[in-house]
Amino acid sequence: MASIIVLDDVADAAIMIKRILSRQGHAVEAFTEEQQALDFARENPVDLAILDIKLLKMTGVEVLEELKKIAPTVRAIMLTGYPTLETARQALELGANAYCVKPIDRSELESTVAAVLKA
Amino acid sequence: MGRLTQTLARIGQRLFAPGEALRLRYEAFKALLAADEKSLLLVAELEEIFAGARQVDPARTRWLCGQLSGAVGEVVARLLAMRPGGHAGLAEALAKVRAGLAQLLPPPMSIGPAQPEATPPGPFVLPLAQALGRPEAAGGKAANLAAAHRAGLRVPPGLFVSTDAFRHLLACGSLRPRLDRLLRQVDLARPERIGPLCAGLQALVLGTAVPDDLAQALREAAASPELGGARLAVRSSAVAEDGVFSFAGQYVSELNVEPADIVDAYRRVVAAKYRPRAVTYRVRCGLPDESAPMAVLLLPMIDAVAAGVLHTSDSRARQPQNQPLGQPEKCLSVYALPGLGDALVSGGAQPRVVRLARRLPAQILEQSGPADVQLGLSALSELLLTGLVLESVFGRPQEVEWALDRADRIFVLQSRAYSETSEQSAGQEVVWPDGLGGQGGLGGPGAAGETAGAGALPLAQGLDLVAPGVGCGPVFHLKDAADVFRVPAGCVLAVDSLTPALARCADRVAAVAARLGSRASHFASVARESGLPVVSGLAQGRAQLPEGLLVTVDAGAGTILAGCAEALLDGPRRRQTEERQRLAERFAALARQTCHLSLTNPEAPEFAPGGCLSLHDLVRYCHEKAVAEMVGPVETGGPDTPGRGLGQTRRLATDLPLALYLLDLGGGLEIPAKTGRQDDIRADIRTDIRADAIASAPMQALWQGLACAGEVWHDRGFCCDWHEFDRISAGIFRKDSRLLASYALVSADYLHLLVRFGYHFAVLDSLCGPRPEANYVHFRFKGGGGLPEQRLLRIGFLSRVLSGSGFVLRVRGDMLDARLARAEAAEVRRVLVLLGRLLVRTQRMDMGLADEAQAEALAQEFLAVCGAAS
Repeated sequence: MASIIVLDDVADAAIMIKRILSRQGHAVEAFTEEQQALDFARENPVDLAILDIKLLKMTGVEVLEELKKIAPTVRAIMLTGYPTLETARQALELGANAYCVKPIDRSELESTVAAVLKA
Repeated sequence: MGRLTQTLARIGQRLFAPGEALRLRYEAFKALLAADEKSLLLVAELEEIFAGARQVDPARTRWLCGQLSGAVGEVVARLLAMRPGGHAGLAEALAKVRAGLAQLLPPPMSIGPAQPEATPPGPFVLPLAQALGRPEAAGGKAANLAAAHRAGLRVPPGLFVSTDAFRHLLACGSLRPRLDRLLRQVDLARPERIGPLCAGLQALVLGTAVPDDLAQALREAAASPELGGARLAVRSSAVAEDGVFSFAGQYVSELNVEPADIVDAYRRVVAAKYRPRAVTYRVRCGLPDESAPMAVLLLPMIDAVAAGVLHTSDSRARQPQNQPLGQPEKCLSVYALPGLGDALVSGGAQPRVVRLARRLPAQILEQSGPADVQLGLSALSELLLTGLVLESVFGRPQEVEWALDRADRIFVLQSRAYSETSEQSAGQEVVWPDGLGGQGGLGGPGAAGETAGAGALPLAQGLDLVAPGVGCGPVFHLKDAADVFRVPAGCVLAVDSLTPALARCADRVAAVAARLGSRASHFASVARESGLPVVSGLAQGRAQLPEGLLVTVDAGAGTILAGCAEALLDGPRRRQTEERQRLAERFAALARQTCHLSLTNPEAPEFAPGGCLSLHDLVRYCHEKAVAEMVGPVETGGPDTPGRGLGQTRRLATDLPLALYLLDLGGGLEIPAKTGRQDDIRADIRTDIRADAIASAPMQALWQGLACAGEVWHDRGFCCDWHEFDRISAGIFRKDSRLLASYALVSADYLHLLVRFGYHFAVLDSLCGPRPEANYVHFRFKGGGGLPEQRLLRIGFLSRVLSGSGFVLRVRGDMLDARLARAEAAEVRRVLVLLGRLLVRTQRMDMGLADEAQAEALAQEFLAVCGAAS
């Protein structure tokens, strides 16, 4: 099972994802603050980051860039409610493994996480 | 009733020569009866429409409401003429109901000739970007394309011709009233008439000249920088198109249009608004013609190497090896054909199908179909992101028409809402975009895996799901789409391909099975919207399903079973109930102002002008009061007391629990010499007559039936102090009786009878004389105290008996009209006896009827006993 962090400025959304993935046996930490998530990644091994693109201080794409400096092998799934061609390209160029659009239902989230972890 | 009027006129002259006031009142009564008849026919038709039994153009509904309002106005005017100064508040009640109706049917609904346009119409042709957020001006397709463009997607640089231009075209040709005259004849129950009507509608548009200013604007558009004098795609973009209703494939696109041909192409695309399938679809959606005006898109042709459709959110069975649960997985489906792809949406070609995971980078989950079109991973990624962006822009799954040009660029040509199934994924946990606050909830594994019909034999399996659902019916082979109006209701349609023309019978058939066609066809959108199950992939086509065989199509499972798999059919029944609820909601307000009857009890205090809340109430009130005016036995005083009758009515003395008053129009009664005190007029008038005083031939026959020893009357214990009752109620109704008084107008060869038993009423009108060509019987039956289904079962019983006795029938809602004409007097007497027995037999039959079979058995029994005996 994997160690996963979830970063979303809406606490309910982050907690919902944590609950779904925890039930599958993953170790999941949920954050709403960018810095707290990055600090956690510095202290702990992280296999996968699930990042919302619209955050409070930074964009998810910027967080991904920082995260890759801390842990170059970390895998990432970007989530957004407002997809644009631009953010999708940026995220994929920075090494995001998947770019998903909200609303995302449980089965879609589970299969995306499974596919990214397997890749 | 025309005959009634004539007969009454003939007798009336004889009767009323002495009293001009009486004659006038009698004339008013006759006219009231005629308007009452007309009103009730209109109410009956509206009730059918409101109940979903008939689907007509909203122009007809509106026209019927206008006619009803006029007829009820006539009824009210005649009642007021019968008693000038009486019925205080009646005119106000009518005005109030009409005002309520006018709010529901605002002015455009009651237009006369075309209004001259007060202000010059706005610009006719605008850049596509200005369609953003303005579907009322640009149509749904153009507005959606503008939204796609703003989201950063590639859209052909185009223009749109606004709905103002369309209205300008209609106004300059004075087309609206002429269109409405045809539209109000559109009735989906008469599919054979839709073709000719639509041909007329299209001819009106095609035959009208495009006004000079509009033609000029179109020519300028063709030469504009956006279009650059190149060949064009001219596409419909109707208001309401691609909105809540898709109108998928119901209108037309013209491709490769020469710039010089733009004016004619515009007119052809606009005229296609009145194609049979488009009109049928709009009527099925319940939209008035005016609320779907046409805008038109002008786009440069894309030099496409491939084109097709994508669905952003389809379900796909999970691969068992790597997925934990049996839940279906969401995917994005791409359907592609080489070239322009128009064969795809018309349902005639098998496309390449690629299913992708709903995330970037693109990951192919599966692919199938002909390999004549190859999409690279970059094109697929672009399509995937395009789909996800559009889904996000519009907030729900989308069906997208796209084209890929030679420079490997994806163009969005159209995007509209799409749902694979109407069912919500109940109990699913969903993560929503920020702030959109979706529904959470703890998800179980969901209601996957429904049980299939046990023991049924599969005729075909592994079929492709086009539209989900289960339908059962006999197989019908449709070989030529032109025969679509011959498709019988309730059948399972076996076709070669899913052509959009099938939309014309989508509301009549139980399911569709095709050899060719995919989920991406236009017809598939229409089917999904109306909940019609559709499958494709019948390898041997129609031959696989013998015509006439009863089969069950389970589209979700991709199987066709022989016989009726009852267990599978709960869903469709639920769908029918939902459809009824939808109609009830749509028409609730209109029904309240027109057909709803709240005045059911003439003895209740609210049976007054102030209690009339609908046009039907007003008719009911006026009819009741007019009858009271005519047959009331005595004058009792006060200005609002009914009963200033003709002073000629006699109550029939009988042991039967029936209060029947007879008004002799001449030769109908043979009353023995008066016995009472000659100076006591009241006593004289009140004298009962016995049945043997009836000299009217039709009334004699009817009475024979009513009093027939074989018939059992309900409510035997009928007794009452008639003198006291008359004093209280002016002689019309028994105060607390469930059997209300009935009355008959009789002459030697004529009978007009109104019978009221509790909550239903029957009207019988008959001439029974020596000339067979003049003789007739008209019998009408309506209402009841039972449940609506029970009332219909009783109507079913009556229909069987009457059609078995030579009547010609028409049933509308719970009203039955039966006519028999040009019969020998002996035959008329025979059926009148039968009707008499029938009136007794059916008194409260509705309360006890459970199903069709019971109604059928009772009808057979009745015919066996009474048909011969009488």
